[in-house]
Amino acid sequence: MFRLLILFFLTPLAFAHRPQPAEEVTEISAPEISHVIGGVFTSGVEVFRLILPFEEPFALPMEIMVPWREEAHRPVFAVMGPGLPEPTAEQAEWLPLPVPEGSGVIIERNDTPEREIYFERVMRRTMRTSGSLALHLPAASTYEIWIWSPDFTVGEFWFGFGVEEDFSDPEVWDPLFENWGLFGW
Amino acid sequence: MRYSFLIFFLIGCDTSVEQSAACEQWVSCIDARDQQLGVATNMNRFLPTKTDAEGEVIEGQCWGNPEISDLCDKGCVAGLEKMTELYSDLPGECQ
Repeated sequence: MFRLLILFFLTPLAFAHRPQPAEEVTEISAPEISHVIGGVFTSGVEVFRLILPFEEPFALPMEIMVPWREEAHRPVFAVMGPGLPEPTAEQAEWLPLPVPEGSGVIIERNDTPEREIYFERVMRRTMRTSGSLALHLPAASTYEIWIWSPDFTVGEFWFGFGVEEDFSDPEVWDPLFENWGLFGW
Repeated sequence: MRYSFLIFFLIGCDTSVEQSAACEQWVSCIDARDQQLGVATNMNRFLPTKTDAEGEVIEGQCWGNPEISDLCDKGCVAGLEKMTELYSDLPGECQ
């Protein structure tokens, strides 16, 4: 109840993504709404796949974050789908899965030497981010995002995308309370 | 006098900011890219703020507060760099 009250007061004051835990494959039913997908690399070899069905060509920011103490933890992400550049041989080799037929790819290698650290005010967590990256997805189609840890480091991550907030359905909070240790303070 | 306090309070609560220069260029770039590709991209969030008759923000959701405007601005800077890295046939608006 205390957590709910705190959220009630904090959410209108700060930007908040809709929380959802990462599964091996996570379907995002409304990719035009901002989300944060949280997960944990327990072995370091996991590949988390997000499925985003866009009804129109779309442009939005994305970033991947880790707890600020995890200096060596640098999970990366790749966006897969139509209208994106074909992967080079080196990229195809580096990716954890084969690129689907007809898809191109954009890779965020999360390799900025000094990553920005910031305090996320709603969930009261301090994070280290790859940095926001606006991407253009030029087809009305399903895009797929892969998140993996190329150096096999373990630990938590949060993948944030989008801008528009929508908490009109109270059920969108359920994943937050069911996974409080992952998202909350 | 009491109303002037209210006005100052309301002005103080208005944390909206203007569209950043980087996102203005990002929008021009994607717009020109759309014409190349023959598509129409939904990039409403990066546009200047626009509200409907009920005051609902229908464009420019990036500019509602400093935290999200920073996210969008940095995203546009990095997005423009990424575009030039990825594509050799970009319109001049992206350079």
